[in-house]
Amino acid sequence: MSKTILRVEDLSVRFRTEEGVFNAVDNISFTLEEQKTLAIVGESGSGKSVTSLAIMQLLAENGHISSGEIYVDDENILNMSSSQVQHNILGKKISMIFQEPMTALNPILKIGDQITESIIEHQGTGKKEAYEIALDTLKQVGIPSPEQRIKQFPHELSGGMRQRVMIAMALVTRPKIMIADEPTTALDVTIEAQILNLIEQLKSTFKTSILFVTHDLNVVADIADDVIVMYCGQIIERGPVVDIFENPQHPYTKGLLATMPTLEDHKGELPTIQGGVPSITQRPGGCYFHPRCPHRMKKCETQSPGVYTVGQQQVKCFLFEGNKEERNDGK
Amino acid sequence: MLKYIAKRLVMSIPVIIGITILSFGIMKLSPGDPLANFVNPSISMEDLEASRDALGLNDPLHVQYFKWIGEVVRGNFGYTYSGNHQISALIMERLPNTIILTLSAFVLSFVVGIPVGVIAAVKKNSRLDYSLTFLSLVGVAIPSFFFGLLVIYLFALVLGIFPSGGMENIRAGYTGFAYFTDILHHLILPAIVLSLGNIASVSRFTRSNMLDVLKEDYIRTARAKGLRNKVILYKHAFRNALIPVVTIFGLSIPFLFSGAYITESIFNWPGMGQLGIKAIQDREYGIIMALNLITATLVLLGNLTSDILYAVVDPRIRN
Repeated sequence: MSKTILRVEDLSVRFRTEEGVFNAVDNISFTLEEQKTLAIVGESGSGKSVTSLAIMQLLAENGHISSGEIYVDDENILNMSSSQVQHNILGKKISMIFQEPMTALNPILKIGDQITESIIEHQGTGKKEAYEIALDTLKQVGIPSPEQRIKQFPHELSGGMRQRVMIAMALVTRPKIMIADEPTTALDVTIEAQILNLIEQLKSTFKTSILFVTHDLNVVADIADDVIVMYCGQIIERGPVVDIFENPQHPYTKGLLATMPTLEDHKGELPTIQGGVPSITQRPGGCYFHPRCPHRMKKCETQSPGVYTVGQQQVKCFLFEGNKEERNDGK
Repeated sequence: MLKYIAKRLVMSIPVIIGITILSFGIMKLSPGDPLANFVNPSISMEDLEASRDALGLNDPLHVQYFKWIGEVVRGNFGYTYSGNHQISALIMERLPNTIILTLSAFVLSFVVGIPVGVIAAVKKNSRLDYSLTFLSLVGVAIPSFFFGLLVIYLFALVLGIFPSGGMENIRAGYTGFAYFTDILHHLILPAIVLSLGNIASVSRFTRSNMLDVLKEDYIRTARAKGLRNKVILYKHAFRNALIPVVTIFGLSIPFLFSGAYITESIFNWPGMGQLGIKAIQDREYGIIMALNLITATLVLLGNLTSDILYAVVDPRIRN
């Protein structure tokens, strides 16, 4: 059993909107083991990005963590002051890379400046030493002629290069956890493959655990060890990547996997899941998925299912009611 | 960078030519001519025509324009119709005074406006922010002639700490450093009055830019890096927020120059504003055209400075 590096317990995130207060993330718990990759999968609006932003304490002004604990190295970071988090956690123990490499870098600061500032901040090194470390990291993320690139501005780099810079920036302080929020969504497919390979390779060089947020199941199959499937702010299924892909249990997960095009079938039309993710203000009662579910029962409309164990997986669905109940983390 | 400046300079040449044509054309289109004001009612039409011929007022327009522009490029703006004063001398006497006033107001606008805007943005929705917003609204809304009278009443009449007008204490006959501080003493009230509206708009503009920038992705990146708030605010946000503020550097120059006409009248400041108003009343076309041209050139220079500053603060524009 490897060491747990990040443990999230009963995390709920609330957003204040003009129509009221809503739970964007609803009582979720998960753990990330040392040097593993945990993927959080879901459609837009499932709460996957909010979860990662909540861990980084980067929620928008109208959002806040309403309950839960987040343990990094067995320390609850929600009990720390914001300056403690800033000083000891962000950029030091947890780093994050974002979806849009085009806008995530400061346009008026040189690449080198943006990488070295976190080294100087967190490791207290001098400018010169930080520069050497930055140069070295740029080499490791596969940026050609780093001596020249380090003096350039973001607009002088391509999207793929910028994402490499973001990764270098995230890893330069050798954090234990890297959160990647759809890091390849904005890139084209060949660059995406390169970046995924790079992340995979750096995971072992830098001994980092990765929390990978994505809507792209192909990416998950490539990179993840374990998978969490989210729907409407709740975890509806989780398990090792092989089991989830070969033997999905929850009707939603099954539906998601059925939408993946494969080379073998030539039926012409791609299957879809009927309907869309309900907006946060219009979630149905009972199981949030029931209006779209092909197997819905009477009680799905009124009661929220518990979490049941099926093999290696845990599934939040009444279809498995006869199985061992894990814990009821629903409402 | 030098190439960029050279390019900008070359681009302003056609604009200057356009300005000369416009300021010449507008004067010629306006009704009445200089003779109308000075002639003896009993003069005969033939003699009037002869005077017009002698002054060149009957030449075809393009001939008149090229005569004028030919002299202008040599620094000669001609002579006044009444009194035969050299226009360039009249202007040179007053231009420096206006520049002193406008430049002070310009510096004041940004030195006060930018920090006020940043503070309001950083303390968004606080009481301080609301008070600054209120003051800015007052600053934009209050007409300068009224505000001018207000400060004269308060600081010159009631408190007596500043002179009510003029540019120097003529009776004292100061020289050297005392002369400098005397001018400064006279300058403070008009500079404040002239810059008030600009301070207000610069601070509002800075505040909204700062708030926009704070929502940018790269600010979130900076936070994710665990940088200190001060570093995020000043290194990452402020410098980006400054880029659009540079635009109003250039825009505020014509604003201040036209404002100076009123402020100079209130404070009896011996600048171009006074000269200009008198020239308009006397239909001294030569002076009006010269003032137009000078003001337009200054505006052009202001825009050029803006463009260069743009390139200084924003690396994306440099190449």
